[in-house]
Amino acid sequence: MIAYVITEGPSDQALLKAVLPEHLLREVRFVAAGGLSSMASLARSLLADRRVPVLIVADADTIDPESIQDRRQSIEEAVAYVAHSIPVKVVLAVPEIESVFFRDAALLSRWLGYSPSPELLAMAHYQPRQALLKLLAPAQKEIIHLLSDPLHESEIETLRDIPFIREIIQFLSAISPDRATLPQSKPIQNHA
Amino acid sequence: MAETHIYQNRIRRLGWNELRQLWEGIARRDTPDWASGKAFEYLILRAFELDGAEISWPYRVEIFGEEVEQIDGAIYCEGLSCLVESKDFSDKKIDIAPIAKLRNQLLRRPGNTIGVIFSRTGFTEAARILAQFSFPQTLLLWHGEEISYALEQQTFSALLKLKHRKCIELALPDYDVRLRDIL
Repeated sequence: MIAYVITEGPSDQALLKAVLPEHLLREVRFVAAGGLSSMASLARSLLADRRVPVLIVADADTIDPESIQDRRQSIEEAVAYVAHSIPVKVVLAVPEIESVFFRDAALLSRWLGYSPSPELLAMAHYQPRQALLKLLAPAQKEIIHLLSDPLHESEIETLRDIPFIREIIQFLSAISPDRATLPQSKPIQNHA
Repeated sequence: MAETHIYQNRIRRLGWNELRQLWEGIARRDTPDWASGKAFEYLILRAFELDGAEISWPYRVEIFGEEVEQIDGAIYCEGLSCLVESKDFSDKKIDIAPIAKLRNQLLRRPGNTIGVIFSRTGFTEAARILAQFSFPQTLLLWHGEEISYALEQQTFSALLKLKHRKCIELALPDYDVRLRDIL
């Protein structure tokens, strides 16, 4: 195992498992913190106790760049003193991880079984989770149900091009023992 | 204190299943039979009692007839003697004030007494850092996700011992006890 991946909840894990490359998934262990407030203590505990790299994937809950940077910095500072030389990465999904579902309009329509209204697509820019819940309400589906259909290769490639997904792949690739065989990645920023 | 006995009798009728239901009610802010914060305070003590710990229910300490402390309870288990502070805020995290207060209370107790703070909504980073810098007074911090986990597992005493042990080994006052099940 190369790293623990801490997410807020189980649907976040399911989403990442659907999108991340299989060779990376084999090498990580997902942990659901249950909420943003317990992420830092869980990360610190894993780092101090297991001495294994940790990737924290959380919602930014805003699109304001300054607020995003503040949140990232506060989480990084909360784990930095126990991390020392162990790789740690904080990746924030802007504004929420559910923005992934709105990356590809055709894929979203396939997931839902219908085309969403322009109003809800506009809402998704700021509140993707709320928009998705509204879209799922008529069918009484939960977010996690959307991921039961396998993704096509082209759809996966589109989703892997989302900036925060790219950040995750870069970090995990950089610490993977197989990194020598992987395509060259940009340098990883913001190690604590 | 008549109120204490009423709450005590009420909570002692609850087993693990009922405590889990009460916990869900606390999260929804739906505990009509309890004054603010009391359901959480008594739930914690009852969970330890169900798990075999010896407990003291909430009480007051007076000096020369003047009340100087309101203690949310005490727990004796796994060789540990603990003063309890329980805070059930609706949305904000615990800041440094309850940490500083409990630390002062520990200064008036035997040196092996530890403080345990339970917060459904977690702690600010400043509060956590203050807890760390309170050593040798030991303060152990429990957040809501850990309480949910302990209620599912029906074990509080062993997890308190684990948290204390990891605090000794790693100097972390907020070691997350859920790691017990994470490989």
